Amino acid sequence: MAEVSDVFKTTSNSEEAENASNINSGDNGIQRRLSFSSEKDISTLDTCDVSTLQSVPDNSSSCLPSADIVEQLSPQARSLPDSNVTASKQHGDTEDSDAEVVRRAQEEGCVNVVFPGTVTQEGCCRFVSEILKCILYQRQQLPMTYDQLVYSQKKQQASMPVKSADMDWRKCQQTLQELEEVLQQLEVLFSLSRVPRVLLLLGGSLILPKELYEINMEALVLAGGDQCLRVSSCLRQLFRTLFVADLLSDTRPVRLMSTTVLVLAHRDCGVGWFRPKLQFKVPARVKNKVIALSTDPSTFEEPRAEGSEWQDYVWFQAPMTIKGFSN
Amino acid sequence: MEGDRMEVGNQKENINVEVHVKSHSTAKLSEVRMHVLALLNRHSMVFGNYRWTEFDEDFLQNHVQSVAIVDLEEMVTQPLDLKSCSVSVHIFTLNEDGPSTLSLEDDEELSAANHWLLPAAEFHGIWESLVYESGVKSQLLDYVTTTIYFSDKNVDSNLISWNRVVLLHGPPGTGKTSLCKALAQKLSIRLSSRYSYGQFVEINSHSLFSKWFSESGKLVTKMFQKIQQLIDDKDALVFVLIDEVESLTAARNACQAGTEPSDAIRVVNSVLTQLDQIKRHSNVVILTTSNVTEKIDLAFVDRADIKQYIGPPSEKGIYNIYLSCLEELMKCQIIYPRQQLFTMFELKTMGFAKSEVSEHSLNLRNIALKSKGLSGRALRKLPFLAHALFVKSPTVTLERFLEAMDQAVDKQKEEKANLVNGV
Repeated sequence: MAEVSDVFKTTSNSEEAENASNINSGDNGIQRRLSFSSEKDISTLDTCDVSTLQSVPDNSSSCLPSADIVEQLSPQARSLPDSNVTASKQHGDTEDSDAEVVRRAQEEGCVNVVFPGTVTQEGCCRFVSEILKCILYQRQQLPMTYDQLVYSQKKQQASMPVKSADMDWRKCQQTLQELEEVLQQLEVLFSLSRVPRVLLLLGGSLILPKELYEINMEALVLAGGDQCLRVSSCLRQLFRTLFVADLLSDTRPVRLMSTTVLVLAHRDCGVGWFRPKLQFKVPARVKNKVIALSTDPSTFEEPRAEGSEWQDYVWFQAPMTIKGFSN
Repeated sequence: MEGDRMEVGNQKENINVEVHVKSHSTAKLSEVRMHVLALLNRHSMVFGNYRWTEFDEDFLQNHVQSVAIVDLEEMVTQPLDLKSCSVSVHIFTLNEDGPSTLSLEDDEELSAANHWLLPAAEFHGIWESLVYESGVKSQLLDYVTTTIYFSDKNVDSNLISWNRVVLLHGPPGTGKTSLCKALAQKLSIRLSSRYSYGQFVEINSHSLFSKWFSESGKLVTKMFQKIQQLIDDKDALVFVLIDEVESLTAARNACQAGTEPSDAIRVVNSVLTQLDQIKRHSNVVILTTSNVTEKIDLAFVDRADIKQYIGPPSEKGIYNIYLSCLEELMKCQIIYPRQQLFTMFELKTMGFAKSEVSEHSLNLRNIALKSKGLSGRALRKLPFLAHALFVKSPTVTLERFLEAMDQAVDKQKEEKANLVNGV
């Protein structure tokens, strides 16, 4: 961790200036949504210590890269600092230029994230669960980010006796429980099988959802152990690209919908919670948005996975949907 | 129809076998088919409809809920040799998620239609529970099968016209809506080799009337556009159920008397033109039900290919309904101990002779005779009423229960009479 933050500090000053304007335009929408209501000042970059923040979320001098805002809960004031530019700039040479990312997202509904190395299976699971949380929040199915909700829910529970009659509280609790269950079971599934694709269906039915998001991990090269990239840095790169691409924001208000999670996994993986959907076909007439994660081919020499590799993979559907709620 | 084929003898009879695969199974269809065929090979002699739920083989035990030979004529006197028949195996899994809703406008909370993926767990078993005069169910099944067959063969619909519209009419409580659901379920299983899945859309017709004058016609068009989206998927067989269709297609000449606003005419016109649009597609069937046929616009009635009257059940039907109810109660051990009841066919072959074993069955037949005139819905709740009003103990013998049912029938008839007098 210390290493990572060192990199930030050394590269920050020079890189920040030239990228700030470019990123700001793309990040405006996110900045609005991700800024929290507390009044605290945004601290400057040089007081930011990434490693301590990640281990001690209650640190009061706060300033986090965007990915960590989504994944971590902390009550302090946080607005999107420009530090995310520097955080991911180290991968800059392997990525498309930001303008290209935005263009692809707008025209093709596709965001490519190319990691400069291999990742672990647990990493994939983290990516999926963080994207799921992010989409639920950005598509206005949750009033706050998941982690914030969990925190405030806990705080509420601690400060006063539970009013079980409170409908809002119960609804929130139910959504959180559903989401938590799905996230847990995703972990189980990822431990049983390789998962090349994940679909998130919002609203409508399985055949005709209102919105469809695909996380494609077919081109990710998995490995175990030490030679893999750190999950946190991958997440940072992933969310930076997502926010730059502005894939998830929509100015129109979105109705509350239920979200269904479908995962492609091996036929014989023996997962019990998810229900196999052998007949399921990815809805073709719905405009889907794809988040494609891949490993940079130049960093990995072994021959690429062929299409036939996924022949024995079938769709599994989470038996419960996540119902959105607002308060 | 099946009977005719049997008498011809030489012609191979088509036997339908439905294989219900467990919802957690990930076995390949080809593998399931192979094992089922092997099972049928081992047990190739069958008497009428039969359902296996226990298997001597691990694979089937693990992956398959039931294997059933279905929809043979009831009166099979000689055993059937499956080896001399052409056997079609239909493999399906039930969709366990409930209905999703289709709404017409984005900000509208009220749903305009409920939407099921077939085969749905909710509809499972309805087909078997419906008892009609012989032939009603198989005719409907054959009608839709022919529809699809004609479309497949590219019959010119300008020369031979068929509209894919079924109208079921009859008194309330005879199971018209249930029959529509069951028919859709059945067909989605039967045609699973051709269409990968079925969809069932139940339109809430009241939601198609707008508070704005002249908007209702547009809402109908919007609804059908949604359905069109579903139809565009050529892999899906789409069933559209318009329940109580008279509310959408009220006779237009009533408007001339000034009792209906002209907006209602627009709705009828809109429905008619949309139906004509939709019939061009080969993968859609429109099912409609109605209690009051005389109120329906003639142009709509004319478009329905099959206008099937669904009446109150006959004595035999009533007997079968009661029989299935009592079987269920014995299964749940509310009636205990379990006692043998004969089917109507078995009773007939015995010449309704009174004996110790047939006593209960004959009693039941008398109750059935007495219940004539009650609707299917009333019959299905009768065992419940009997238990609630006259049994008053958790478990009961069959004899005592039959007495209670007898009393319940009397009470039902009395209530019905009072209701009529009161009006």
